[in-house]
Amino acid sequence: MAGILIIAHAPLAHVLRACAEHIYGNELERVIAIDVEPNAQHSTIIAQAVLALTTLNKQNSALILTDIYGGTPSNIATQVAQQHNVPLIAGINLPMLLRAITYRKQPIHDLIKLTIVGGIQGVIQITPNS
Amino acid sequence: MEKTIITVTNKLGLHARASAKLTQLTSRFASEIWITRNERRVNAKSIMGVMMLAAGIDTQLILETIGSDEKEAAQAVIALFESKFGEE
Repeated sequence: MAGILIIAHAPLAHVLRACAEHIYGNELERVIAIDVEPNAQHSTIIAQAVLALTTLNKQNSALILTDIYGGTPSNIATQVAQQHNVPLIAGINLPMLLRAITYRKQPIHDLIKLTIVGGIQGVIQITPNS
Repeated sequence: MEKTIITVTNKLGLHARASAKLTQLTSRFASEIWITRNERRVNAKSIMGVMMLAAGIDTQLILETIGSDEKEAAQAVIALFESKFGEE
């Protein structure tokens, strides 16, 4: 089962995690959220992320989700992902996170595809007839 | 194949929490499990699929279970709906 690490602009990371936990109705195992405050030191966040990955990687495989590509959380996540050879996806939304949690027992390459598709499929224009 | 009509009776309908409970239940069965609302047929093991039905209270759905444990799966899903997902 893949561990999931969320690195995003504060308070998005822990709020998304809290929403997923509310929806699943039980404690989410191996999902860690790291909020990046505006004045955060990169080195502090990197240290937190590395510690989180150490915890999550115990059962093999982990996935990092970040909010917007090119933002500070994403840049930090990229550094950590490359150093530790962990897949990283930007563009986290609640549908994506739910999809990642639902399919986390799948092989990591399948999980990556399912997670991305989940994020995209969650974007829908709602019209009166839909 | 087992095919039944089920009605959504809980106040908030098949919202996120209810959908999560449903998919956690259905994923325990080997059978394929499908739910149809009007013309939309979704895999009942997919939380987002179920939520796409936007099934509010009083919505009628068709439940199909296909496989080795189709009867048990159908009964379990029906029971979950009848219990209003434990929400009331």
